[in-house]
Amino acid sequence: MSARILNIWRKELLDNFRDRKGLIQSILIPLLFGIFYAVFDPILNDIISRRAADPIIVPALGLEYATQDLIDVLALVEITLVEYEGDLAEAVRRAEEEAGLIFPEDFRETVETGGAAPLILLTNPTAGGLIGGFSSERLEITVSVYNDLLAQRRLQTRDLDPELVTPIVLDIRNLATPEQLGGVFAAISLPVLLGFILTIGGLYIAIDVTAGEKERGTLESVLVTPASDLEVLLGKLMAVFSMTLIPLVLTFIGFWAASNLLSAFRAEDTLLPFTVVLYAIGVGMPLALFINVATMILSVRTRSFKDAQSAATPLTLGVTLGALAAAFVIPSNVLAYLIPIYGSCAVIGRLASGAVVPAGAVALSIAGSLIAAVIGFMIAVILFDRERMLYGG
Amino acid sequence: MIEVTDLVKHYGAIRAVDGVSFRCGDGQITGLLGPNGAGKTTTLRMIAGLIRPQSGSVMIDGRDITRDSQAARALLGVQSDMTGVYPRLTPREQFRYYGRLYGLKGEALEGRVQAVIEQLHMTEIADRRAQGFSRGQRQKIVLGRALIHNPQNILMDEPTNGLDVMAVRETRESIRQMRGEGRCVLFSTHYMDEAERLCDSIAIIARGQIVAQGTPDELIRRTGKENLEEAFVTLAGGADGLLKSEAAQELAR
Repeated sequence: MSARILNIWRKELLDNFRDRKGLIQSILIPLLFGIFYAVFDPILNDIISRRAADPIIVPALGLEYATQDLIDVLALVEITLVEYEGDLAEAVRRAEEEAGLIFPEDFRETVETGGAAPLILLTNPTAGGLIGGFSSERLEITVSVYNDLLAQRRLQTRDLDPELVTPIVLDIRNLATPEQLGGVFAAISLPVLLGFILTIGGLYIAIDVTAGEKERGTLESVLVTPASDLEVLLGKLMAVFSMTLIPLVLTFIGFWAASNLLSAFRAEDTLLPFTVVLYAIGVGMPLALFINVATMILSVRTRSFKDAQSAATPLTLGVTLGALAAAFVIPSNVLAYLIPIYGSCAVIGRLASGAVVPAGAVALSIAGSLIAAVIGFMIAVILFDRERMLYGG
Repeated sequence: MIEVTDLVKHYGAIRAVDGVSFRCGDGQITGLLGPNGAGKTTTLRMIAGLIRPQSGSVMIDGRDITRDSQAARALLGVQSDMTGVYPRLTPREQFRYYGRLYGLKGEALEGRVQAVIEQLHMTEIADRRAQGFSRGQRQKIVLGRALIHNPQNILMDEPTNGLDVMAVRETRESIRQMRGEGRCVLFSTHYMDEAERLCDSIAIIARGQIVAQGTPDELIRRTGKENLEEAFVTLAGGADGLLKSEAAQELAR
């Protein structure tokens, strides 16, 4: 029995390793996706933080009415005001300018006489594209700081303690560990990446060895041999599982390497621990088995490769939703880790964020996937009825 | 030897195969002839163990294809009408794959693979991937994988269908060679001249039943016709019978 299973497994692997299209879809795309995912985030963060620190020039109307203090405070944070000619509000509305200031004629006088000076800040968060909108944010904060400064001066002039108008001094202390800070992105991306790898990585071969073989007209010739249904199904499942393990291992190691080694922007102390990657692979393996079985169940009764791809779409959606749920919803009960897809992805998400995973969560997530895989395999054996499969509707 | 006894297969109200019985002896070529929809392919698929009959039995050298399925299938080589091959594998790799499915290994396997390659004159293409092979070359792979375990009994569903003249001649020669080796060959065909030339015995199936069985000469004599084609049309129920069979096939779909 085992010799036939191994024979089918070996043949399916050889066949699929020679299929360039299949290899690209099963291995290369998840790998590139993982690397892109890992590199893209730190680069984007770096661009955003650099952009936020860049000197900016803000157009202003009525600059002659501004106080020198305000101009000096803005200069400290590298914001330079320049006189604008034309309709500034329209320019900001049309996103030609990210922000603008309008000083009314009585601005300086009102500030100096202790009144409430109106200052119009024009903003358009859509200006500057995905990473734009920093001019207005910096302007807003700086003007707010200047405002506090003026208030303090006025209180001191009247011999009043500025603390009178500051009943609460908020002292924010960030207690997140460097691993947690580094893992915030990974906590969301790793569960989603796992779901993506397992559906895409095994999809092509799972369909190829079932619906694909039927469409090619070779399945009948296998089923007339003494190989039993169980042997055929097990051999094929082993091949699908083996092929899925390749992108699973490569993509996670690629993700880790890309995010930790290729990125010059990430601080040393925020590296993603390699143990998280090992856990992701370990928890991902039984989950891969379950998703492989589910894909085979869906494709075993379809007539063609195309039909099977359509039939597998709800599964891909389900896995993605499960992974997304795990990325954003922390399990409230340890038994929730038993839920296939959600449990495994939640373990990875929690580990990636540096959080402590409840005792038994890893074992429960593995058990959940394995139980689902066994039940799925039993269903697959029942569905793998040669007469209905070959000639049924 | 293949023995088919009272084989029945219904699809709803359609009696696709309705009590078919016949026998194919060793060292003989038996032809299963019938119009489209007569139950020919369903019968062959039941013999191959791909379809379960509602009743009746198929014995391959004394082994029941339903009750002792694995053992019976090991004694049978099947060349189906599906000529699909694995395009990314060479014929040699495909023969090895099927050989192992039939339980062959080691030197015995390699010996059989080489023997089949030589028998089917495939030496030049044996190590080329099957992508782009002609229909004739693919048909050789299909035949080769049916013969890889050196079976005593061979089942062939329209083996010469769609082949060019040279490939047809080669296939017919292979069938004769199998008979010469003492094997039991059961095959279906649409070509009356092929059946007349090759077959030692012919079973004619129409509307799911065997309506006549005998040597080509016996069938011609029995109907008083000049050739097998005329005899076949008469035995299958005339033009009306052929049409009914085709209508039954449509309903079964």
